[in-house]
Amino acid sequence: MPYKCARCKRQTDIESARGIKCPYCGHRIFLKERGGGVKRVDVR
Amino acid sequence: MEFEVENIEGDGRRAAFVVRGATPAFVNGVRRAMLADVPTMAIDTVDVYENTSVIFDEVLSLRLGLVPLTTDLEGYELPEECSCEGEGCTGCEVSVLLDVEAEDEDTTVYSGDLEVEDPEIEPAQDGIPIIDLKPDQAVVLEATARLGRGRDHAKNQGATAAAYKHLYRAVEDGGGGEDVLRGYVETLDGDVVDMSEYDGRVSEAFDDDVGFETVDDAFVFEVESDGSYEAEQMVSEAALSLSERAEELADTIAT
Amino acid sequence: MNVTILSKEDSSVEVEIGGQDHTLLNVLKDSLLRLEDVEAATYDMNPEQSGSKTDPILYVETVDSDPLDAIEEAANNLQEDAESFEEEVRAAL
Repeated sequence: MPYKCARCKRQTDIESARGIKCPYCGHRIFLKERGGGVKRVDVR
Repeated sequence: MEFEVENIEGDGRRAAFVVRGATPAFVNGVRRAMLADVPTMAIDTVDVYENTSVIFDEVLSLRLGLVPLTTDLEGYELPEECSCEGEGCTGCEVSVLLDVEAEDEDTTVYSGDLEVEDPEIEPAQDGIPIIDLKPDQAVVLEATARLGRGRDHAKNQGATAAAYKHLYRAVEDGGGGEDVLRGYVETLDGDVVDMSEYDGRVSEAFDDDVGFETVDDAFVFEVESDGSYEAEQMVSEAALSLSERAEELADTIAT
Repeated sequence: MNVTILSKEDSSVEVEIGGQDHTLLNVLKDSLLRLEDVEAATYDMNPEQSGSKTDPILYVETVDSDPLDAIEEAANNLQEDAESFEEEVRAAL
């Protein structure tokens, strides 16, 4: 699952980010990226 | 019943007419059929390839679903009545594409940006705003439009207004009494006048001693469609839907 | 259309009409009541407090004819009425 660091905006992986911490800048807030592929939505 | 239908006014999406010789139950059946039973085309599923806008896919899809599309009942079947048994084929669904990107300035996406595969089907009007895009935001999606009925989802309700009321009739020596009347009124000569031409003021349209009564078997219909159909076709499809069901019932009872 | 006869006597009948609502039933009731032989006709959209989870039930009582024939005749009349109305609408609008 791809995440983005909220401060330095670099892509990282939350599993490898030992604890919730950006490996590049140490920031602890992440943004979840939109998943790839097509999303099917029913109009209801 | 012996009907007499008289057109009062109307152009395309709007119609006002008088039905004579009908019962309240019958006209109510037609009204209900217009609202809930006449199928219209609407976007039903959306495959979102890209959406970098600020609106969620689900919200965007709902907005797309609510865009009225012109409906071609000759060319399409309801999915549940289609020979593909609801699987989805060219006989019951049509693909709609939306591919928009705001390059370097704010852009509003309108219903007119939808590209429908079948030229018979198109957004009923082009100027319905769907979403605002900021620079570099983009939406790419492929939607599927199908026929559906108003009783299942409001997006399939073709009639934005379908209403009737008893026709008012002017009678001689009625003793006046009414100052203001709205809607359509039958004059002493049997013509039907629109009271809004007189701002509803009875004294301007009629003599002083004229009174008013309702005509038991006459109804004034006012119908407005969302653009899926012309108003006339809307009424006629509603009547056909009633007649088809009555026929089906008669056949079932007979066997 | 799924039609189930729930009970039938010589001059009365209870029929469940699948998948229909007031749109058809109320017009049909009106059409039935205009038949000479029909003594009583009504329908219940929400039988047994079902929360509208079941289909409507039509009740018909006749004087001295088969109530099922009355339903058939009323439905036929309704079909003719709707068709002639449709023709009038197309001619007038």
